[in-house]
Amino acid sequence: MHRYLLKRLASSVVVLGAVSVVTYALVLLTPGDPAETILREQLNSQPSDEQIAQFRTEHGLDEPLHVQYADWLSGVLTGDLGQSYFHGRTVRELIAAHLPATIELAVAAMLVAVLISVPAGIVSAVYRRTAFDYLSQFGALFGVSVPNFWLGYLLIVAVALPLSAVPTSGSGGVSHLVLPAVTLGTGLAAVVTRLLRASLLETLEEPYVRTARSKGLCERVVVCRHALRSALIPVVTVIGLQFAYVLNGAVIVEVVFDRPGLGTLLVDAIFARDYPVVQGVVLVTAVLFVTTNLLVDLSYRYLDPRIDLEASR
Amino acid sequence: MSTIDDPSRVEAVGRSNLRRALRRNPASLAGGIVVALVVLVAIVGPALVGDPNAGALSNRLQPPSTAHPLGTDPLGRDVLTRLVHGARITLAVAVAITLVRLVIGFVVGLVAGLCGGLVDEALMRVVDFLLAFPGIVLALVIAGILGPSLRNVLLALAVVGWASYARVVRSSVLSVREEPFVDAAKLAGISRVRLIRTHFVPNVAGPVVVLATLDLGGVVLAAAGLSFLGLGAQPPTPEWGAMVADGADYLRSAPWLVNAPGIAIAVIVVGFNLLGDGLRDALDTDPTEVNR
Amino acid sequence: MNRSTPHETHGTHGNEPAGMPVSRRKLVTGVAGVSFASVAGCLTSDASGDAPVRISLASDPTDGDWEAYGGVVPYHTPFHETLTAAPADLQSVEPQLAREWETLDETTWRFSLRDDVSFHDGSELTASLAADALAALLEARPIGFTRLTPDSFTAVDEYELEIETTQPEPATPGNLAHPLMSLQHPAADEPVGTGPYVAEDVTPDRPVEAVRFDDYRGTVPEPTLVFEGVTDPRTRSLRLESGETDVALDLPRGSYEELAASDDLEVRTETEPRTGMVMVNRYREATSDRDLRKALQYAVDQHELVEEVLDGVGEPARSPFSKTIPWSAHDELSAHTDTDRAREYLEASAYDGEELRFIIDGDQSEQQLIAQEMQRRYDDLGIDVAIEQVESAAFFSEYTGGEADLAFVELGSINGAADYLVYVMYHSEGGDNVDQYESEGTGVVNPGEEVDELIERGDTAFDEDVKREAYREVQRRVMDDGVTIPIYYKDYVIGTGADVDGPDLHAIPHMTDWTTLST
Repeated sequence: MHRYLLKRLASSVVVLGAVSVVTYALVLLTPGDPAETILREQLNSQPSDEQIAQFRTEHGLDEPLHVQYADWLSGVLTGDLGQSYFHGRTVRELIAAHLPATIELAVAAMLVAVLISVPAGIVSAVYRRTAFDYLSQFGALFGVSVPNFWLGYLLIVAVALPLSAVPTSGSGGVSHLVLPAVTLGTGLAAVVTRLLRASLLETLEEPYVRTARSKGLCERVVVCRHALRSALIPVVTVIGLQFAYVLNGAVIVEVVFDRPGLGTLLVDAIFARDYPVVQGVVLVTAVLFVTTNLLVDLSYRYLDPRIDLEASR
Repeated sequence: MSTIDDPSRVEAVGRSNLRRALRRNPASLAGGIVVALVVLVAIVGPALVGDPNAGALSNRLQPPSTAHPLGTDPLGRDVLTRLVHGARITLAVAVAITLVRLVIGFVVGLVAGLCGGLVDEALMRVVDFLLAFPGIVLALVIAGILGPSLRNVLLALAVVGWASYARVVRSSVLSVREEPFVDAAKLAGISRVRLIRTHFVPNVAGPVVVLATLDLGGVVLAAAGLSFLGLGAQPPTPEWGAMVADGADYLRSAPWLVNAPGIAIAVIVVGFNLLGDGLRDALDTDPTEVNR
Repeated sequence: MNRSTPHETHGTHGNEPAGMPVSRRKLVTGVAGVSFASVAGCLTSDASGDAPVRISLASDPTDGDWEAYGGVVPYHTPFHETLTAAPADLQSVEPQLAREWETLDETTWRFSLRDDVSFHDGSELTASLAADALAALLEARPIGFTRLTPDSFTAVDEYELEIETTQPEPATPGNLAHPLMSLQHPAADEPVGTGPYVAEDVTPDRPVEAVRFDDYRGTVPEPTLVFEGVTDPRTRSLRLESGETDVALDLPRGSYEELAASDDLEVRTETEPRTGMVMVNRYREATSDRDLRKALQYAVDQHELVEEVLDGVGEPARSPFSKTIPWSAHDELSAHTDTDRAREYLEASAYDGEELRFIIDGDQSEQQLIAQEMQRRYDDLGIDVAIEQVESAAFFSEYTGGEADLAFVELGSINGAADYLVYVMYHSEGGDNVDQYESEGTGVVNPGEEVDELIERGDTAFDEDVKREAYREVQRRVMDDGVTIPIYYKDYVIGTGADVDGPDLHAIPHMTDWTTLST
C-alpha cells in the first residue's frame, strides 16, 4: 500500500511537472506582444515605447524563456503564481477568489446528479424493461447528449425569467447555484444512472441476493439492504472520476450563467492574453484533478479490499 | 487509473453477428438511422437548399413559416438552409477530429505495444498525462492560443483526445502477442507486417470502431462548445455551436435561432450514442472506460 | 445601510443587496418568492429607509490596475472628480474642481480651483494637494494622450495651480476632463476623491457600494448605489429584465425593442462621440489601389445597416468623427452609398479576385453582423472578403501590424477634447500607423505628409476656427482617399427599472452624473 501510494504520488508529480512545462511552452508560442495589447486596453490609447519597456521589465518579459520558466516554477513552488497582466492582482488572489464558485458548482452538480440518478437507476433496474426503465434510459441518453450551452439558455428563459427567486446569472447564494447545477448535473446524472442500472442488474443476479430473496424477504429489502450497497461501490468511484467531466463542463456553464468561477476566469484570460492567469488556472485545475483521481483510487481500494492496486496499474 | 480495459474481452466479431445484434436492439437501430439521415443531409442537402448566406435584411428575424420552416436570422438568412449546411460542417469536423485521434492513437498504441520497454513506458506516461487532464480545458487553451478558427479547434481536440485509442490499441497488441499462434507464426517465418494484418487488425478493429462511434458524440459536443465560446467557426460559417452563440442575443425575441441548432446538436449526439451503445453490445467490447 | 446582516451571502454580482426592491416585479407566488420578499422586507426597515440602487456596468469597477484611484475604476463611478468637465452635449469644456483657467504662454496654464471642496477623508482641496494628486497619477501610469508629466504641476498659491505642458497643447483643459485625470487623495490607499459618493468596502471582484458624501458641496440624493460588473451584454439585459438589477448600461442594441416594449422598464439611448467604422489598409497589396478602396466604400449602405441590423439605434455615419464632436465634418460630407459608382470604381481598379482579410473584434456581435452583411454586398459586386474574428487582445496588434485589409473598429472620445483621436487614427506617427511607419516607412490608414501637417496644425491651434478647418480638411481627405468606411455613430443603450428616475444621460456614458438618479 505504501509502495503504491509513493508510486502514485511520484507519477502525479511528474504529470503536474509536464502540465507546467506544456502550458508554459504553449503560452509563449503565442504571437503578439502582450505588453502592448494589455497597456492599450488599460490606457484606452496607444502606449508609448517607454511604457511598453516598463511593463516588460515589471513582468520579467525581457528574460530568456528558460529563465522566465525557472522564475515562474520557483515561484509556484512557494505558492506564488505571479502577477496578472490585466487585473491589478496576483494570480493566487484571483484563483482564490474564483475557485470557491467552481467548487460549489461542482459539488452542487454532483448532488443534482446523485438525486436524479440513484432513484432513476434503482427504478430502472428493478422494473427492468418496463416503461419506467425505458423512460429513465431515454432521459439518461438525453442528458448526456444535450449541449449544456443550449440547456442553460433554455432554463434561463423557462425558469429564471418567470421566477424571481431564481437569478439568471452571477454567484452568491444557493439560489444562484440552482440552474447551473441542474444544467451541469444532468449530463453527469445520465452517466451515473446507466452505470447504477447495470451494476444493480449484475448484483441482483449474485448468489447472496438470490439467497436473500429465497428467504422470502420482500423485494424492497433485498434491493435496498443487499444489492444496492455493493452496487454503489463502482458508482462512487465513477462519480469521483467524473470530476473531470464537471470541470470541463463548468467552463461552458459558467460562461452561460456569467458565473465568476475558474472557467470564466480562464476564458477571459485566454481572450485577454493574460498568460500568468492562464498558466495558473491550468495548473490549479491539473492539481485538483490529479488529487481527486488519487483520492478516488485510494478510496476505491478502501471500499473494496479485493482490488489489488499494484496489479491494476 | 485502475479501470483499464480487459484485453481478454476483445474479440473479433463477424459481420453477420453485428447485423443480428443491431437488429435485436431497436434503439441502436434508431441511432443508426438518425446518423444515416444526418449523413445523407450533410452530403446531398447543401446542393438542394441553396446558398446559406442568401437573404435580405428586410426579411430579418422572421418567425417560422411555410417559406422559412425554421425562421430567419438577424441578416434575413433562412435558418433551415444554414442548419443543413451546418450539418456538413459539423459532421466533417467531428469525423476529422475522430480520425486524427484514431490515427495518432493507433500509431502510438502500436509502437508502444510492439516495442515495449522504455518506449512503451514513455509513451504510456504521455497517455496518462492526457487522460489525467480535463480535455476541454487543455483544448480551450490550445485553441485560444492558436487563434479562433475551425482548423485550430480540430487540432486542439485531436491533440487532447487520442490517448484512449492508444490504450485500446496497445492492449490489443499485447493480447495478440501473448497468443500461442504468434509464436507459431514466427517459427513459420511469417513477417511481422503480415501478422499485424491477419491477426492484429481484425482483433483491434471492433473496440476501436466502438470507441470512435461513442467518441463522435462527445467530439460534436466539444467542438460545438468551443465554437460557442467563440474559438471555432468564423462568420458566416453556419457551424451549429456558433449558431447557438450568435442566436443567444435574440433568446427572447427569436428563440428559434438558439433552439434549432441546439436541437440539431442533441439529435446527432443521441444518434451517435445510441449507435455506439448498440455496437458495443453487439461486439461485446467496452473500450469506453478509459475514455472518461 | 448596514450590510453585515447574517442572512446575507456575499457574491460577485448576483447577491441581492439588502432590501432589493421587489415591488416592481410581479412576484410569482411560490415558497421561494415569498420567503425572499419577507427577508427583503425586514432588511429594508433599516435606518436610511431607501433601498440601494443596483447599477450594472460592462466591466467590474474593481477589475484592472486602478491602484492610483484607490482600487476603483474612475469610469462610470461617482467617487472622483476632475478639474474640468465635459458638458452633456460636448460643445465646450466646463469648470468642475477648477473655477476658471487661462493660458500664460503656449505651454503654461493657470487653473484657479474652487475653495469649497473637500476630500472624503475631510481634507480640503488645495492647489498643492491637487498638484500632488495629479503628479501621483502620472507617476503611476503615464497617460498617452496628453503632454503632461508628473513634473507639470506646481501650486503657486493656495488655490492657484500652474500646469506646464511639454509641447503646446490647446486641448489641455479638455484632456483634464478625462476620467483618468480624476483627483484621488495622494496619501490614500482606498478610493478617496471629492465626488458626491463615498466608496465603501472596496474588495476586488465584488460590487462597490457608493454611499452619499454628506459634505459634498451640492445636493446628493439619499439612496446608496451599488456598482457591479457584468461583462456579458446579454446577461446585463437578462438581469434588468428579471429585476436583478435596476440600471444596466450599454445594453445590446439587438434587445432594444424587446426591452423597450416592457412596461416595467425604461430604455433610453444617447449618441456618443464614438464611431463604428471599417478601416481600409492603404498599404496592403490589393487595397493600396484607391479605386478598390472607393468601390469598398460606395458599396456599403449605412442607412440600411443602422435601421435593420442595429434596430435603428445609432445614426448612419458619414465621417470617422461622430457628429457630436464639435469639429466633425458630418454636415458637409455626403453619404457614400452608391452601388453603381462602386461598380464603376471596381471596374477601373486592378482588383482581380484576391481574397481580402476583414478582421473584427471577437467580442462585438453587432459588428459581426454588420461585417457579414458587408461581405454579402461585396460578394454581389464580385469582391471576395473573408471575415476573421480576432480576440480583443490581439485585434489591435493585427490591425496596427498591417495584417488585415479591412478592420472594424469602434473609436471615440471619453474626453473633453477629441484631438487625440485624429492623431491616433490618421497621423503617420499616431498609434494606429506608427508601427508600420517606423518599420516599413508606410503605415495603415495614414494618407501621408499633407494630412500629417494638417493634423499637427489642428492639434497645436489655440484658435478654434483654425483647428476646426484643419480637422475638417483631414476628414475630407480621408474620405476622398477611401481609407475609412464610416458605418454608424454609436448610440449607447441604458435601461432602468420603473422604480428608478434618471439618471440624466451624458454623451459620454463614463461621465454619467449619478446624483441625477433617484428612486
